[in-house]
Amino acid sequence: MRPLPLLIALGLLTVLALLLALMVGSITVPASELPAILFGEGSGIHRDIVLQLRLPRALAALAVGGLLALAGVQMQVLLGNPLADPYILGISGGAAVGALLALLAGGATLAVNGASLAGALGSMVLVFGLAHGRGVWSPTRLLLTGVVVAAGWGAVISFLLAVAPQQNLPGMLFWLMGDLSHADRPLPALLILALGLLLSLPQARNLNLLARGELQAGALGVSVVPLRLQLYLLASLLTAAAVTIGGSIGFVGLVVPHMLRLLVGSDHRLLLPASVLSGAILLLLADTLARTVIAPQQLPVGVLTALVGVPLFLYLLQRGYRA
Amino acid sequence: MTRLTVEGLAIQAGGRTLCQGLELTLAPGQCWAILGGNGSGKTILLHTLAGLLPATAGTIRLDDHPLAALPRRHIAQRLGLLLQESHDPFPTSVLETAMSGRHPHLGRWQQEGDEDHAIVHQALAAMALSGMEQRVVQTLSGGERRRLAIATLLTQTPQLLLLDEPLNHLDLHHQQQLLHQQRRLAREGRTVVMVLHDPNQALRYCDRALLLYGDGRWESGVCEELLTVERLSHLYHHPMRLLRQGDERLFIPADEGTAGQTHSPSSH
Repeated sequence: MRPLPLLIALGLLTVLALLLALMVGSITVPASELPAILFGEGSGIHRDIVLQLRLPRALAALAVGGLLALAGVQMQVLLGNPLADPYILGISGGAAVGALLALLAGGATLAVNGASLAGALGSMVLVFGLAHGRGVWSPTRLLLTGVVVAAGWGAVISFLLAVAPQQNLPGMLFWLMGDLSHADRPLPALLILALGLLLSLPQARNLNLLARGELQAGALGVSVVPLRLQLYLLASLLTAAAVTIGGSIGFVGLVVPHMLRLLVGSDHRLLLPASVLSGAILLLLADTLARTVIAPQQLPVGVLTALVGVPLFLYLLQRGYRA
Repeated sequence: MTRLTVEGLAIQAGGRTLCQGLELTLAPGQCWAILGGNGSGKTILLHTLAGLLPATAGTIRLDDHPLAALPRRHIAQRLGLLLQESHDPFPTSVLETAMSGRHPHLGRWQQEGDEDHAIVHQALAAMALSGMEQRVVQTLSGGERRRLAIATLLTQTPQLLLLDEPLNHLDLHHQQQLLHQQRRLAREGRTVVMVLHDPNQALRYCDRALLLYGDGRWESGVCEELLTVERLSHLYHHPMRLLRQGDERLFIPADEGTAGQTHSPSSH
Protein backbone atom coordinates (compact mmCIF):
# COMPACT_ATOMS: atom_id res chain seq x y z
CA MET A 1 0.00 0.00 0.00
CA ARG A 2 1.18 3.51 -0.75
CA PRO A 3 2.32 5.38 2.36
CA LEU A 4 0.02 8.40 2.23
CA PRO A 5 -3.29 6.57 1.61
CA LEU A 6 -2.37 4.12 4.36
CA LEU A 7 -1.73 6.88 6.88
CA ILE A 8 -4.94 8.67 5.87
CA ALA A 9 -6.90 5.42 6.26
CA LEU A 10 -5.39 4.80 9.69
CA GLY A 11 -6.13 8.39 10.68
CA LEU A 12 -9.78 7.98 9.70
CA LEU A 13 -9.99 4.71 11.62
CA THR A 14 -8.56 6.47 14.67
CA VAL A 15 -11.29 9.10 14.47
CA LEU A 16 -13.95 6.41 14.06
CA ALA A 17 -12.61 4.48 17.05
CA LEU A 18 -12.62 7.69 19.07
CA LEU A 19 -16.23 8.46 18.13
CA LEU A 20 -17.25 4.90 18.96
CA ALA A 21 -15.63 5.23 22.38
CA LEU A 22 -17.67 8.40 22.98
CA MET A 23 -20.96 6.77 21.96
CA VAL A 24 -20.81 3.38 23.62
CA GLY A 25 -21.35 2.66 27.29
CA SER A 26 -23.99 2.09 29.89
CA ILE A 27 -25.86 5.00 28.33
CA THR A 28 -25.62 5.14 24.54
CA VAL A 29 -25.08 8.59 23.12
CA PRO A 30 -26.35 8.69 19.52
CA ALA A 31 -23.86 9.73 16.87
CA SER A 32 -26.20 12.52 15.79
CA GLU A 33 -25.72 14.28 19.12
CA LEU A 34 -21.91 14.08 19.15
CA PRO A 35 -21.13 17.06 16.88
CA ALA A 36 -23.23 19.39 19.00
CA ILE A 37 -21.70 18.12 22.23
CA LEU A 38 -18.13 18.27 20.97
CA PHE A 39 -18.56 21.80 19.64
CA GLY A 40 -19.75 23.09 22.97
CA GLU A 41 -23.51 22.85 22.55
CA GLY A 42 -25.95 20.25 23.64
CA SER A 43 -26.94 19.75 27.21
CA GLY A 44 -27.90 17.41 29.95
CA ILE A 45 -26.55 14.11 30.99
CA HIS A 46 -25.24 13.10 27.57
CA ARG A 47 -23.03 16.14 27.45
CA ASP A 48 -21.60 15.46 30.90
CA ILE A 49 -21.00 11.81 30.13
CA VAL A 50 -19.20 12.53 26.89
CA LEU A 51 -17.13 15.53 27.94
CA GLN A 52 -16.33 14.63 31.52
CA LEU A 53 -16.11 10.85 31.49
CA ARG A 54 -15.67 9.36 28.06
CA LEU A 55 -13.64 11.95 26.17
CA PRO A 56 -10.75 12.22 28.69
CA ARG A 57 -10.55 8.47 29.01
CA ALA A 58 -10.73 7.90 25.23
CA LEU A 59 -8.02 10.48 24.61
CA ALA A 60 -5.89 8.83 27.30
CA ALA A 61 -6.37 5.46 25.62
CA LEU A 62 -5.42 6.99 22.28
CA ALA A 63 -2.30 8.57 23.74
CA VAL A 64 -1.19 5.52 25.71
CA GLY A 65 -1.71 3.22 22.71
CA GLY A 66 0.36 5.53 20.54
CA LEU A 67 3.08 5.89 23.18
CA LEU A 68 3.42 2.14 23.67
CA ALA A 69 3.51 1.37 19.95
CA LEU A 70 6.09 4.10 19.30
CA ALA A 71 8.25 2.98 22.22
CA GLY A 72 7.93 -0.61 21.00
CA VAL A 73 9.26 0.22 17.53
CA GLN A 74 12.16 2.12 19.07
CA MET A 75 13.04 -0.58 21.59
CA GLN A 76 13.08 -3.21 18.85
CA VAL A 77 15.53 -1.17 16.80
CA LEU A 78 17.65 -0.23 19.82
CA LEU A 79 18.02 -3.85 20.88
CA GLY A 80 18.11 -5.23 17.34
CA ASN A 81 15.51 -7.72 18.42
CA PRO A 82 12.01 -8.13 17.03
CA LEU A 83 10.91 -9.67 20.32
CA ALA A 84 11.64 -6.55 22.34
CA ASP A 85 8.77 -4.54 23.78
CA PRO A 86 8.64 -1.30 25.79
CA TYR A 87 8.68 -3.21 29.07
CA ILE A 88 11.63 -5.48 28.34
CA LEU A 89 14.19 -3.26 30.06
CA GLY A 90 12.30 -3.18 33.35
CA ILE A 91 10.73 0.26 33.06
CA SER A 92 7.24 -1.05 33.70
CA GLY A 93 8.57 -3.20 36.55
CA GLY A 94 10.05 -0.17 38.27
CA ALA A 95 6.86 1.76 37.68
CA ALA A 96 4.80 -1.10 39.06
CA VAL A 97 6.84 -1.29 42.25
CA GLY A 98 6.38 2.45 42.74
CA ALA A 99 2.66 2.29 42.04
CA LEU A 100 2.05 -0.75 44.24
CA LEU A 101 3.90 0.85 47.15
CA ALA A 102 1.73 3.95 46.75
CA LEU A 103 -1.41 1.80 46.59
CA LEU A 104 -0.33 -0.08 49.72
CA ALA A 105 0.13 3.23 51.48
CA GLY A 106 -3.39 4.15 50.41
CA GLY A 107 -2.28 6.89 48.06
CA ALA A 108 -4.68 8.69 45.76
CA THR A 109 -4.45 8.59 41.95
CA LEU A 110 -2.00 11.44 41.84
CA ALA A 111 0.32 9.81 44.37
CA VAL A 112 0.14 6.50 42.52
CA ASN A 113 0.97 8.21 39.24
CA GLY A 114 3.85 10.10 40.80
CA ALA A 115 5.25 7.00 42.44
CA SER A 116 5.02 4.97 39.23
CA LEU A 117 6.74 7.72 37.24
CA ALA A 118 9.51 7.84 39.85
CA GLY A 119 9.82 4.05 39.69
CA ALA A 120 10.01 4.08 35.87
CA LEU A 121 12.65 6.81 35.76
CA GLY A 122 14.61 5.17 38.56
CA SER A 123 14.63 1.87 36.72
CA MET A 124 15.69 3.60 33.51
CA VAL A 125 18.67 5.25 35.22
CA LEU A 126 19.58 2.02 37.00
CA VAL A 127 19.57 -0.10 33.82
CA PHE A 128 21.47 2.52 31.86
CA GLY A 129 24.11 2.87 34.56
CA LEU A 130 24.56 -0.88 34.96
CA ALA A 131 24.63 -1.55 31.20
CA HIS A 132 27.17 1.20 30.73
CA GLY A 133 29.35 -0.19 33.50
CA ARG A 134 32.99 -0.47 32.56
CA GLY A 135 32.47 -2.43 29.40
CA VAL A 136 31.11 -1.69 25.99
CA TRP A 137 27.53 -0.56 25.65
CA SER A 138 26.32 -3.29 23.34
CA PRO A 139 22.67 -4.09 22.61
CA THR A 140 23.14 -7.55 24.11
CA ARG A 141 24.55 -6.16 27.33
CA LEU A 142 21.75 -3.63 27.56
CA LEU A 143 19.16 -6.33 26.87
CA LEU A 144 20.56 -8.71 29.48
CA THR A 145 20.87 -5.97 32.09
CA GLY A 146 17.30 -4.86 31.45
CA VAL A 147 15.88 -8.36 31.51
CA VAL A 148 17.62 -9.15 34.79
CA VAL A 149 16.54 -5.88 36.41
CA ALA A 150 12.99 -6.55 35.18
CA ALA A 151 13.15 -10.00 36.79
CA GLY A 152 14.24 -8.33 40.02
CA TRP A 153 11.27 -5.98 39.89
CA GLY A 154 9.05 -9.00 39.23
CA ALA A 155 10.24 -10.57 42.49
CA VAL A 156 9.54 -7.35 44.39
CA ILE A 157 6.06 -7.17 42.83
CA SER A 158 5.29 -10.75 43.88
CA PHE A 159 6.52 -9.96 47.37
CA LEU A 160 4.31 -6.87 47.61
CA LEU A 161 1.28 -8.85 46.41
CA ALA A 162 2.00 -11.60 48.92
CA VAL A 163 2.13 -9.28 51.91
CA ALA A 164 -0.62 -6.87 50.81
CA PRO A 165 -3.86 -6.78 52.82
CA GLN A 166 -6.88 -8.34 51.11
CA GLN A 167 -8.70 -5.10 50.46
CA ASN A 168 -5.77 -3.60 48.52
CA LEU A 169 -5.33 -6.55 46.17
CA PRO A 170 -7.97 -5.78 43.49
CA GLY A 171 -6.60 -2.28 42.93
CA MET A 172 -3.05 -3.59 42.74
CA LEU A 173 -3.98 -6.33 40.29
CA PHE A 174 -5.90 -3.89 38.10
CA TRP A 175 -2.86 -1.63 37.99
CA LEU A 176 -0.62 -4.53 37.04
CA MET A 177 -2.89 -5.67 34.23
CA GLY A 178 -3.23 -2.16 32.90
CA ASP A 179 -6.29 -0.05 33.53
CA LEU A 180 -7.45 3.28 32.22
CA SER A 181 -10.36 3.93 34.57
CA HIS A 182 -8.40 6.57 36.48
CA ALA A 183 -6.99 8.23 33.39
CA ASP A 184 -8.79 11.55 33.46
CA ARG A 185 -6.02 13.96 32.39
CA PRO A 186 -4.98 13.03 28.85
CA LEU A 187 -3.32 16.29 27.83
CA PRO A 188 0.25 15.62 29.12
CA ALA A 189 0.26 12.18 27.48
CA LEU A 190 -0.93 13.61 24.16
CA LEU A 191 1.76 16.27 24.28
CA ILE A 192 4.46 13.71 25.09
CA LEU A 193 3.24 11.52 22.23
CA ALA A 194 3.37 14.44 19.80
CA LEU A 195 6.84 15.38 21.02
CA GLY A 196 8.04 11.79 20.78
CA LEU A 197 6.83 11.50 17.21
CA LEU A 198 8.37 14.84 16.27
CA LEU A 199 11.73 13.78 17.69
CA SER A 200 11.75 10.34 16.10
CA LEU A 201 10.51 11.12 12.59
CA PRO A 202 13.74 12.96 11.60
CA GLN A 203 15.64 9.80 12.61
CA ALA A 204 13.41 7.43 10.64
CA ARG A 205 15.93 6.60 7.91
CA ASN A 206 18.70 6.24 10.49
CA LEU A 207 16.51 3.71 12.28
CA ASN A 208 16.21 1.70 9.06
CA LEU A 209 19.98 1.34 9.10
CA LEU A 210 20.42 0.83 12.83
CA ALA A 211 17.95 -2.06 12.55
CA ARG A 212 20.62 -3.81 10.48
CA GLY A 213 23.27 -3.49 13.15
CA GLU A 214 25.46 -0.69 14.43
CA LEU A 215 28.38 -1.54 12.14
CA GLN A 216 26.22 -1.41 9.01
CA ALA A 217 24.62 1.81 10.22
CA GLY A 218 28.01 3.36 10.95
CA ALA A 219 29.37 2.29 7.58
CA LEU A 220 26.47 4.04 5.86
CA GLY A 221 26.99 7.30 7.68
CA VAL A 222 24.91 7.07 10.87
CA SER A 223 26.43 8.42 14.09
CA VAL A 224 25.48 5.38 16.09
CA VAL A 225 26.34 6.36 19.66
CA PRO A 226 24.24 9.53 19.92
CA LEU A 227 21.41 7.86 18.03
CA ARG A 228 21.31 4.93 20.44
CA LEU A 229 21.40 7.25 23.42
CA GLN A 230 18.51 9.26 22.03
CA LEU A 231 16.56 6.08 21.30
CA TYR A 232 17.10 4.75 24.80
CA LEU A 233 16.08 7.98 26.50
CA LEU A 234 13.10 8.62 24.25
CA ALA A 235 11.73 5.08 24.30
CA SER A 236 12.14 4.95 28.08
CA LEU A 237 10.42 8.28 28.66
CA LEU A 238 7.54 7.38 26.33
CA THR A 239 7.12 4.08 28.16
CA ALA A 240 7.30 5.80 31.54
CA ALA A 241 4.58 8.23 30.45
CA ALA A 242 2.36 5.43 29.18
CA VAL A 243 2.81 3.27 32.27
CA THR A 244 2.20 6.19 34.60
CA ILE A 245 -1.22 6.77 33.03
CA GLY A 246 -2.41 3.28 32.26
CA GLY A 247 -0.34 0.82 34.25
CA SER A 248 1.46 -1.96 32.42
CA ILE A 249 -0.92 -2.56 29.56
CA GLY A 250 0.58 -5.51 27.75
CA PHE A 251 0.77 -6.51 24.14
CA VAL A 252 0.32 -3.15 22.37
CA GLY A 253 4.02 -2.32 22.32
CA LEU A 254 5.06 -5.76 21.09
CA VAL A 255 2.32 -6.64 18.66
CA VAL A 256 1.51 -3.37 16.94
CA PRO A 257 5.05 -2.82 15.58
CA HIS A 258 5.10 -6.46 14.49
CA MET A 259 1.77 -6.31 12.73
CA LEU A 260 2.84 -3.16 10.96
CA ARG A 261 6.15 -4.68 9.89
CA LEU A 262 4.19 -7.59 8.42
CA LEU A 263 1.74 -5.28 6.68
CA VAL A 264 3.81 -2.34 5.45
CA GLY A 265 7.46 -3.42 5.69
CA SER A 266 10.27 -2.00 7.76
CA ASP A 267 10.71 1.53 6.45
CA HIS A 268 10.48 3.54 9.66
CA ARG A 269 9.40 6.66 7.80
CA LEU A 270 6.07 4.86 7.41
CA LEU A 271 6.36 2.47 10.33
CA LEU A 272 6.66 5.13 13.04
CA PRO A 273 3.49 7.12 12.27
CA ALA A 274 1.54 4.01 11.23
CA SER A 275 2.43 2.29 14.50
CA VAL A 276 1.35 5.29 16.54
CA LEU A 277 -2.05 5.37 14.82
CA SER A 278 -2.51 1.60 15.00
CA GLY A 279 -1.57 1.51 18.68
CA ALA A 280 -4.07 4.27 19.33
CA ILE A 281 -6.82 2.40 17.45
CA LEU A 282 -6.11 -0.89 19.19
CA LEU A 283 -6.15 0.60 22.66
CA LEU A 284 -9.23 2.73 21.96
CA LEU A 285 -11.18 -0.34 20.83
CA ALA A 286 -9.85 -2.47 23.67
CA ASP A 287 -10.74 0.14 26.28
CA THR A 288 -14.22 0.60 24.83
CA LEU A 289 -14.71 -3.15 25.09
CA ALA A 290 -13.24 -3.18 28.60
CA ARG A 291 -15.88 -0.67 29.70
CA THR A 292 -18.81 -2.38 28.05
CA VAL A 293 -18.33 -6.10 27.57
CA ILE A 294 -19.52 -7.15 31.03
CA ALA A 295 -20.98 -3.80 32.09
CA PRO A 296 -21.57 -2.48 34.67
CA GLN A 297 -18.39 -4.22 35.79
CA GLN A 298 -15.20 -2.96 34.11
CA LEU A 299 -12.34 -5.15 32.98
CA PRO A 300 -8.67 -4.11 33.04
CA VAL A 301 -7.90 -3.01 29.50
CA GLY A 302 -4.72 -5.15 29.46
CA VAL A 303 -6.90 -8.26 29.39
CA LEU A 304 -8.70 -6.96 26.32
CA THR A 305 -5.56 -5.90 24.41
CA ALA A 306 -4.36 -9.47 24.69
CA LEU A 307 -7.74 -10.96 23.81
CA VAL A 308 -8.02 -8.72 20.73
CA GLY A 309 -4.36 -8.80 19.84
CA VAL A 310 -3.52 -12.49 20.09
CA PRO A 311 -5.88 -13.79 17.36
CA LEU A 312 -5.20 -10.79 15.15
CA PHE A 313 -1.47 -11.29 15.39
CA LEU A 314 -1.62 -15.04 14.88
CA TYR A 315 -3.75 -14.54 11.78
CA LEU A 316 -1.23 -12.09 10.31
CA LEU A 317 1.65 -14.40 11.15
CA GLN A 318 -0.10 -17.25 9.36
CA ARG A 319 -0.67 -15.04 6.35
CA GLY A 320 3.05 -14.36 6.23
CA TYR A 321 5.05 -11.38 5.09
CA ARG A 322 3.53 -9.08 2.51
CA ALA A 323 3.97 -10.37 -1.01
CA MET B 1 39.98 11.82 -5.89
CA THR B 2 39.93 10.14 -2.53
CA ARG B 3 43.09 9.02 -0.83
CA LEU B 4 43.47 7.28 2.51
CA THR B 5 46.81 7.59 4.24
CA VAL B 6 47.83 5.62 7.30
CA GLU B 7 50.77 6.69 9.45
CA GLY B 8 52.23 4.72 12.34
CA LEU B 9 49.02 2.84 12.90
CA ALA B 10 48.93 0.38 15.79
CA ILE B 11 45.99 -1.90 16.52
CA GLN B 12 45.57 -3.86 19.70
CA ALA B 13 42.71 -6.20 20.49
CA GLY B 14 42.18 -8.77 23.18
CA GLY B 15 45.51 -7.88 24.78
CA ARG B 16 47.44 -8.62 21.56
CA THR B 17 49.15 -6.22 19.22
CA LEU B 18 47.83 -7.06 15.79
CA CYS B 19 49.76 -4.50 13.84
CA GLN B 20 52.39 -1.97 14.72
CA GLY B 21 53.72 1.06 12.88
CA LEU B 22 51.59 0.43 9.80
CA GLU B 23 52.25 2.81 6.92
CA LEU B 24 49.92 2.71 3.94
CA THR B 25 48.71 4.97 1.18
CA LEU B 26 45.56 3.83 -0.56
CA ALA B 27 45.44 5.82 -3.77
CA PRO B 28 42.96 5.99 -6.67
CA GLY B 29 43.44 3.23 -9.23
CA GLN B 30 44.89 0.77 -6.77
CA CYS B 31 43.45 -2.64 -6.02
CA TRP B 32 44.70 -4.05 -2.71
CA ALA B 33 44.47 -7.50 -1.17
CA ILE B 34 44.80 -7.98 2.57
CA LEU B 35 46.03 -11.46 3.41
CA GLY B 36 46.60 -13.10 6.78
CA GLY B 37 45.59 -16.04 8.93
CA ASN B 38 42.49 -16.23 11.08
CA GLY B 39 42.55 -13.70 13.88
CA SER B 40 45.42 -11.74 12.37
CA GLY B 41 43.42 -8.51 12.50
CA LYS B 42 42.21 -8.13 8.92
CA THR B 43 38.66 -7.25 9.89
CA ILE B 44 39.68 -4.97 12.73
CA LEU B 45 42.05 -3.16 10.39
CA LEU B 46 39.29 -2.69 7.84
CA HIS B 47 36.89 -1.34 10.47
CA THR B 48 39.62 0.97 11.75
CA LEU B 49 40.30 2.23 8.23
CA ALA B 50 36.57 2.91 7.91
CA GLY B 51 36.67 4.95 11.12
CA LEU B 52 34.36 2.57 12.98
CA LEU B 53 36.99 1.61 15.55
CA PRO B 54 39.54 3.88 17.19
CA ALA B 55 43.20 3.22 16.41
CA THR B 56 45.46 2.38 19.34
CA ALA B 57 48.10 4.71 17.93
CA GLY B 58 48.83 6.53 14.71
CA THR B 59 46.67 8.58 12.38
CA ILE B 60 44.44 7.84 9.42
CA ARG B 61 43.72 10.65 6.99
CA LEU B 62 40.99 10.80 4.41
CA ASP B 63 42.07 13.40 1.84
CA ASP B 64 44.36 15.04 4.42
CA HIS B 65 41.66 15.27 7.08
CA PRO B 66 42.06 13.15 10.22
CA LEU B 67 39.43 10.45 9.89
CA ALA B 68 38.52 10.56 13.57
CA ALA B 69 37.42 14.20 13.25
CA LEU B 70 35.21 13.75 10.18
CA PRO B 71 31.42 13.34 10.44
CA ARG B 72 30.26 9.79 9.69
CA ARG B 73 28.11 11.01 6.81
CA HIS B 74 31.06 12.74 5.17
CA ILE B 75 33.09 9.54 5.44
CA ALA B 76 30.24 7.38 4.11
CA GLN B 77 29.92 9.56 1.01
CA ARG B 78 33.50 8.64 0.08
CA LEU B 79 34.30 5.37 1.77
CA GLY B 80 32.20 2.20 1.70
CA LEU B 81 32.62 -0.94 3.78
CA LEU B 82 31.30 -4.40 2.98
CA LEU B 83 30.94 -6.22 6.29
CA GLN B 84 31.94 -9.86 6.62
CA GLU B 85 28.39 -10.82 7.57
CA SER B 86 25.13 -8.98 7.09
CA HIS B 87 22.51 -8.94 9.74
CA ASP B 88 18.80 -8.48 9.04
CA PRO B 89 16.65 -9.20 12.09
CA PHE B 90 13.63 -7.40 10.62
CA PRO B 91 11.88 -8.22 7.33
CA THR B 92 12.92 -5.81 4.59
CA SER B 93 12.71 -6.01 0.83
CA VAL B 94 15.68 -6.33 -1.50
CA LEU B 95 14.87 -2.90 -2.95
CA GLU B 96 14.73 -1.22 0.49
CA THR B 97 18.02 -2.82 1.49
CA ALA B 98 19.85 -1.82 -1.67
CA MET B 99 18.36 1.67 -1.43
CA SER B 100 19.91 2.10 2.02
CA GLY B 101 23.22 2.63 0.22
CA ARG B 102 21.90 6.03 -0.86
CA HIS B 103 21.49 7.11 2.78
CA PRO B 104 24.67 9.21 3.07
CA HIS B 105 23.78 11.09 -0.11
CA LEU B 106 20.27 12.07 0.96
CA GLY B 107 19.30 14.96 3.21
CA ARG B 108 17.33 14.27 6.36
CA TRP B 109 13.90 14.84 4.81
CA GLN B 110 14.87 14.05 1.24
CA GLN B 111 13.06 11.22 -0.52
CA GLU B 112 14.84 8.92 -2.93
CA GLY B 113 14.54 10.33 -6.45
CA ASP B 114 14.70 8.93 -9.98
CA GLU B 115 18.47 9.11 -10.00
CA ASP B 116 18.71 7.08 -6.80
CA HIS B 117 16.35 4.48 -8.24
CA ALA B 118 18.45 4.31 -11.40
CA ILE B 119 21.61 3.74 -9.36
CA VAL B 120 19.95 1.03 -7.29
CA HIS B 121 18.59 -0.82 -10.32
CA GLN B 122 21.98 -0.66 -11.98
CA ALA B 123 23.66 -2.08 -8.88
CA LEU B 124 21.08 -4.86 -8.56
CA ALA B 125 21.56 -5.71 -12.23
CA ALA B 126 25.34 -5.78 -11.78
CA MET B 127 24.92 -8.34 -9.00
CA ALA B 128 22.36 -10.39 -10.99
CA LEU B 129 19.52 -9.51 -8.64
CA SER B 130 17.19 -7.85 -11.14
CA GLY B 131 13.61 -9.01 -10.73
CA MET B 132 14.07 -9.78 -7.03
CA GLU B 133 13.35 -6.21 -5.88
CA GLN B 134 10.23 -7.11 -3.89
CA ARG B 135 11.62 -10.30 -2.34
CA VAL B 136 12.03 -10.25 1.45
CA VAL B 137 15.70 -10.46 2.36
CA GLN B 138 15.13 -13.32 4.81
CA THR B 139 13.91 -15.53 1.95
CA LEU B 140 17.13 -15.15 -0.07
CA SER B 141 19.89 -17.73 -0.16
CA GLY B 142 23.23 -17.04 1.50
CA GLY B 143 24.87 -16.20 -1.81
CA GLU B 144 22.00 -13.95 -2.88
CA ARG B 145 22.20 -12.07 0.40
CA ARG B 146 25.93 -11.63 -0.12
CA ARG B 147 25.30 -10.23 -3.58
CA LEU B 148 22.68 -7.91 -2.13
CA ALA B 149 25.20 -6.62 0.42
CA ILE B 150 27.65 -5.96 -2.42
CA ALA B 151 24.90 -4.26 -4.45
CA THR B 152 24.24 -2.01 -1.45
CA LEU B 153 27.92 -1.09 -1.39
CA LEU B 154 27.77 -0.27 -5.11
CA THR B 155 24.65 1.84 -4.52
CA GLN B 156 26.64 3.86 -2.01
CA THR B 157 29.00 4.78 -4.91
CA PRO B 158 32.06 5.32 -2.71
CA GLN B 159 35.42 6.25 -4.22
CA LEU B 160 37.12 3.92 -1.75
CA LEU B 161 35.73 0.41 -1.31
CA LEU B 162 36.75 -1.78 1.63
CA LEU B 163 35.50 -5.35 1.25
CA ASP B 164 35.76 -7.87 4.07
CA GLU B 165 35.88 -11.36 2.56
CA PRO B 166 33.61 -10.37 -0.33
CA LEU B 167 33.68 -13.89 -1.78
CA ASN B 168 31.97 -15.53 1.22
CA HIS B 169 28.95 -17.61 0.15
CA LEU B 170 29.47 -16.80 -3.54
CA ASP B 171 29.60 -19.57 -6.12
CA LEU B 172 32.58 -19.85 -8.44
CA HIS B 173 30.99 -17.83 -11.24
CA HIS B 174 29.97 -14.97 -8.97
CA GLN B 175 33.38 -15.00 -7.27
CA GLN B 176 35.08 -14.47 -10.61
CA GLN B 177 32.54 -11.81 -11.58
CA LEU B 178 33.11 -9.93 -8.34
CA LEU B 179 36.89 -10.01 -8.59
CA HIS B 180 36.66 -8.86 -12.18
CA GLN B 181 34.22 -6.08 -11.27
CA GLN B 182 36.39 -4.77 -8.43
CA ARG B 183 39.49 -4.78 -10.62
CA ARG B 184 37.58 -2.83 -13.25
CA LEU B 185 36.38 -0.30 -10.64
CA ALA B 186 39.99 0.21 -9.55
CA ARG B 187 41.14 0.67 -13.14
CA GLU B 188 38.41 3.26 -13.60
CA GLY B 189 39.95 5.28 -10.78
CA ARG B 190 38.42 4.03 -7.55
CA THR B 191 40.38 2.44 -4.72
CA VAL B 192 39.58 -1.16 -3.81
CA VAL B 193 40.75 -3.03 -0.73
CA MET B 194 39.70 -6.66 -0.35
CA VAL B 195 40.32 -9.15 2.44
CA LEU B 196 40.98 -12.40 0.60
CA HIS B 197 41.89 -15.91 1.67
CA ASP B 198 43.36 -17.13 -1.60
CA PRO B 199 46.76 -15.67 -2.55
CA ASN B 200 46.14 -16.72 -6.15
CA GLN B 201 43.14 -14.42 -6.38
CA ALA B 202 45.27 -11.64 -4.91
CA LEU B 203 47.98 -12.29 -7.47
CA ARG B 204 45.56 -12.37 -10.37
CA TYR B 205 43.19 -9.51 -9.56
CA CYS B 206 45.03 -7.15 -7.22
CA ASP B 207 48.10 -5.06 -7.87
CA ARG B 208 49.11 -4.60 -4.25
CA ALA B 209 48.95 -6.68 -1.12
CA LEU B 210 49.24 -6.19 2.60
CA LEU B 211 50.29 -9.20 4.65
CA LEU B 212 49.30 -9.26 8.32
CA TYR B 213 51.22 -11.75 10.43
CA GLY B 214 49.01 -11.29 13.48
CA ASP B 215 51.85 -10.44 15.88
CA GLY B 216 52.33 -6.81 14.95
CA ARG B 217 54.47 -7.46 11.86
CA TRP B 218 53.21 -6.56 8.44
CA GLU B 219 54.55 -6.28 4.89
CA SER B 220 53.14 -4.47 1.92
CA GLY B 221 54.10 -4.12 -1.70
CA VAL B 222 53.37 -5.03 -5.27
CA CYS B 223 51.76 -8.47 -5.47
CA GLU B 224 54.21 -9.81 -8.06
CA GLU B 225 57.16 -9.19 -5.75
CA LEU B 226 55.57 -9.60 -2.35
CA LEU B 227 53.84 -12.92 -2.83
CA THR B 228 56.45 -15.65 -2.57
CA VAL B 229 56.37 -19.21 -1.31
CA GLU B 230 58.50 -18.26 1.69
CA ARG B 231 56.31 -15.38 2.82
CA LEU B 232 53.03 -17.22 2.29
CA SER B 233 54.26 -20.32 4.11
CA HIS B 234 55.20 -18.11 7.00
CA LEU B 235 51.95 -16.12 6.80
CA TYR B 236 49.67 -19.14 6.92
CA HIS B 237 51.90 -21.33 9.09
CA HIS B 238 51.58 -23.91 6.39
CA PRO B 239 54.09 -25.03 3.78
CA MET B 240 53.22 -23.77 0.29
CA ARG B 241 54.36 -24.80 -3.15
CA LEU B 242 54.50 -22.85 -6.36
CA LEU B 243 53.27 -24.22 -9.66
CA ARG B 244 54.19 -22.48 -12.88
CA GLN B 245 52.29 -22.88 -16.09
CA GLY B 246 53.49 -20.59 -18.79
CA ASP B 247 53.36 -17.09 -17.38
CA GLU B 248 50.92 -18.03 -14.70
CA ARG B 249 51.98 -18.73 -11.14
CA LEU B 250 49.84 -20.78 -8.79
CA PHE B 251 50.37 -21.21 -5.05
CA ILE B 252 49.11 -24.46 -3.61
CA PRO B 253 49.29 -25.70 -0.03
CA ALA B 254 51.57 -28.68 0.48
CA ASP B 255 50.09 -32.06 1.33
CA GLU B 256 48.49 -32.37 4.74
CA GLY B 257 50.88 -35.12 5.76
CA THR B 258 53.75 -32.70 5.75
CA ALA B 259 51.80 -29.87 7.35
CA GLY B 260 52.09 -28.99 10.98
CA GLN B 261 55.57 -30.47 11.30
CA THR B 262 57.30 -27.22 10.62
CA HIS B 263 56.39 -23.59 10.73
CA SER B 264 59.44 -22.59 8.80
CA PRO B 265 59.08 -21.79 5.12
CA SER B 266 59.54 -24.77 2.86
CA SER B 267 61.84 -24.37 -0.05
CA HIS B 268 60.45 -25.36 -3.40
